Amino acid sequence: MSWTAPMTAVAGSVFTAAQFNQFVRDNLLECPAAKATTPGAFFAVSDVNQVAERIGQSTSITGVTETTTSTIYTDLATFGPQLTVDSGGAAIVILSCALQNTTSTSSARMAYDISGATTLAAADNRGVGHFGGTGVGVVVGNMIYHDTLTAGSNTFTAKYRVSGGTGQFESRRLQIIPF
Amino acid sequence: MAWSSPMTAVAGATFTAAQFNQFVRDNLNMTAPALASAAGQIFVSTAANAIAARTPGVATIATSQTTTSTTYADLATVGPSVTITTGTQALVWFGALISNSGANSSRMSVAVSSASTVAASDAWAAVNVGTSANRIFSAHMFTGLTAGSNIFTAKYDVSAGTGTYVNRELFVIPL
Repeated sequence: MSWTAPMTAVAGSVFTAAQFNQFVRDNLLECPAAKATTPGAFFAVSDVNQVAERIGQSTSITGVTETTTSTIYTDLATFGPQLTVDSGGAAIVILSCALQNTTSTSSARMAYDISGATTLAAADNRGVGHFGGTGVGVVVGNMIYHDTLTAGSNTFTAKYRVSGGTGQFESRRLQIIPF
Repeated sequence: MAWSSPMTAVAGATFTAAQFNQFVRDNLNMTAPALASAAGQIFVSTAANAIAARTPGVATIATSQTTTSTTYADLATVGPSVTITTGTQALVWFGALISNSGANSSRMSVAVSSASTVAASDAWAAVNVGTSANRIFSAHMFTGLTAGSNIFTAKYDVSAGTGTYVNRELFVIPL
């Protein structure tokens, strides 16, 4: 079943069952009302003349304070947070964290990698970070728009690193709005 | 072609070709599948019984650049900038790794040009104070835009000293 540009009726011609099924039934079944399944979901274009229901997701790891001295992106003692979503070629990633570093001249950073249909390593320019101020913790957030994902099931996993010293992380949150 | 409130069928009446074309063909052509032209679009209302597909836009500039300007201005590399078709509203998210040479503020804001004219403002700026480099972001819902092709451009200033900006990002959800 797919969308077909509606026929133009001609006065005096017979409107067949096949025409109804193709141009009325099947087209109506491609519309958001026919595809809606979940309250709070929205619709995005998945291809020419195709829309798909998309559902935002949110998860967090709170109540624990964990550390790393790794200067390359890695996991903390409690893995994640992590989300797996069905997306088209685009998605908005929202992440936030309370973080600090034991060394005033070093940074603490949170980013994320993508696996599944898309493979993308964690990177500083797709994350949050705080520099300086020993013992000065801040809550930081960021929102990143990806428009080059591979459509399908994509998994987003939070990762962490420091430039030096010991980074401390808590209240780690991750939300995905797939398009 | 426009949406027409669907007719109500009457038992025994003839369903004409003109009625099919107006209430079935033309109305179906106003639905999301008919208007969907590229993956990643979203749909917004443009008027009563009218929708349009919108495509979010994003731009980034990684290069570290500086300014000493105390009024909003461009950096050596202008932007980032997004040209996008909007209705009367747009949601904008922007920011960078920001620092200053002294205990001063460094600001990043957004201006709108082309169909609309809106100057960059402290009211929606991303602001960092002091020498510690922090990744700072801000969001702003622009309303009252002139519908059409609008250009969103990041602008920068400082209260004093030299502001440094790295990994500058701007993304726009047109409504």
